[in-house]
Amino acid sequence: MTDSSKAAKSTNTSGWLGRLDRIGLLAENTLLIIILASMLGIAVWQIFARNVYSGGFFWADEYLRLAVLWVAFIGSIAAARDHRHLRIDLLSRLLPASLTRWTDFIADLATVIICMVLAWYSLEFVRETFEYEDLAMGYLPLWWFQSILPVGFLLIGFRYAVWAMKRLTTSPVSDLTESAP
Amino acid sequence: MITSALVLLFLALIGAPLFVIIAASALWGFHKLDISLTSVILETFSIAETPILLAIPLFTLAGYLLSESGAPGRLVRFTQALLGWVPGGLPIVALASCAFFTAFTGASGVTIIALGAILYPALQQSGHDDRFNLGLITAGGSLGLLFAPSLPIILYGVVAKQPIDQLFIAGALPGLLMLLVLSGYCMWTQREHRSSLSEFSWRNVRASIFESALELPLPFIVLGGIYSGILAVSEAAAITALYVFIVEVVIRREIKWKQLPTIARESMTLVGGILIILGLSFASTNYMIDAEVPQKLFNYTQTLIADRWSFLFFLFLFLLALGAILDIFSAIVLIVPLILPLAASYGIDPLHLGIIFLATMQLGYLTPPVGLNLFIASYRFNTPILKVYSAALPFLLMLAATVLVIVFVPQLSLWFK
Repeated sequence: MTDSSKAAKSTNTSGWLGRLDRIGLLAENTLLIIILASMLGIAVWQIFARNVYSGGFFWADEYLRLAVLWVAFIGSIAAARDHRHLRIDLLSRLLPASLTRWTDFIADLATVIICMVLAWYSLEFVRETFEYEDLAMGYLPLWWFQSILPVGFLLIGFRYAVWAMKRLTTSPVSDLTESAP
Repeated sequence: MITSALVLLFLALIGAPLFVIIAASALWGFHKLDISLTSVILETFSIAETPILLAIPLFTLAGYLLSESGAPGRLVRFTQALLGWVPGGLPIVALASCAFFTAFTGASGVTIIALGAILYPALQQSGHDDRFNLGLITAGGSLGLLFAPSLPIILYGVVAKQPIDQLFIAGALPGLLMLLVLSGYCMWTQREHRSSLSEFSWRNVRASIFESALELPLPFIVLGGIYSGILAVSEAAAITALYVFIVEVVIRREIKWKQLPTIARESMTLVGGILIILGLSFASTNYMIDAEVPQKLFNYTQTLIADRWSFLFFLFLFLLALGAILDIFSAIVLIVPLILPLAASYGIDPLHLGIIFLATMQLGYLTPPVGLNLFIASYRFNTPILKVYSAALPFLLMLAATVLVIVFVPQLSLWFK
């Protein structure tokens, strides 16, 4: 189940980390808006073009499919920032806070490790595409579009590393980030 | 093998994200089979090779835009003008509006937040029992799950490789039945409130139609577009999202431009959470099929369950338990590939299975201890969770009885075949 708490707001870090945080947030939102807008525009244009003069862009279908991948991964990065990835929420609601602090820490740490492994093999995957010189939409290198995979897993892992740190540094009583949605 | 499964189970139970659990099992499985681990990523990349997935971000965006606009209020006023005169009127208005709205928001809890804020005070004002109101809104929050174009139906279609337009039809009668049963229940328990609302008047109906004139075409755009054969499901999603955007942002201006980043982010957080699980499960499902897990499961089940009806009953119990701990999206992605071949071997139509799956999982939203709607209602209406449990219980029981009918009367879902 999701944690719909606005956990992002609780990050009150200052200095360069804080600035990096705000830049990241801005980048995520901007990319989401741009991709969603382009998806909408292109998808609707395709319908129009097909029905009116049975034409349309030859690259549109592939663009839309790649855009879904990007939206999925940026959405995932956003979900990681707010600690809102879908999960089984049973024990954290039943166990006392002093204990969930540790179970949360273990869960976050496991997430970091798995994301790093995924990021590593994503990089390998992108490198292979790079070597085969596969193309997307006719003439753009496909690996540009695939690079969201390693970047995405890396950033999700980074977010969970920040969360894991927080479990250790904040006292369980003041940790309100994961109360009811 | 047992050890690693136990480790994963432990991690899942302490709340590690489900995509991590799936990724870990896929990585481990591919490693055991000596397959390069980049295959896990290759499978995940299939997100970009499944055209129908486009419908998911676009319908979700449309739903979130609607919920942030004034549409929920207009919808309630329209339904009120239309149904307010019925005995037990307002509760039925609440149920019908919730169902309509959930079809577009995909039962992500948005309904309770968007519509509850309007309906709950209205119900209180007209003198309904507080416990009843709370239960009603909590149960209403996932009522339209079986109506087109709800997100769980689309996701089931993707995972089970079933035609989504047919799933939409299959869900219509079962969804309607749930709505009717709960309405009947409200009519019966609230029969004292006969005079709680206004008389039926054409003038009110006309006024509310005029007020909602821009939103009312939505179901017709979606369904008309799909069933006339003009639009594919993902194209209907694009048209819907663009239409909602133009109406609520450009024409009505109820959503300010500067709200758009937040809305995009909120909706795509949900979409990202679902799609990353889906992507990694492409890998884990492949591994499980390689390892013949469905076949083993089938052999095992055959020794325990002989006929189709007992299978359906156990399936119901299993999904009920599953729904109590797992959200509907993860459950679809994780469990459907396993039970699909199993159900087929008992002669259950995949369309019917989908409706069973979603209808039973819908109960999970109301099942203690972790039903999502229970928590959202508790939070939104500032009520102790135990009170919400007991308030939602009669509605949960009525719905459970209805779901049993849906499970054991396949014709409800398959009448058109």
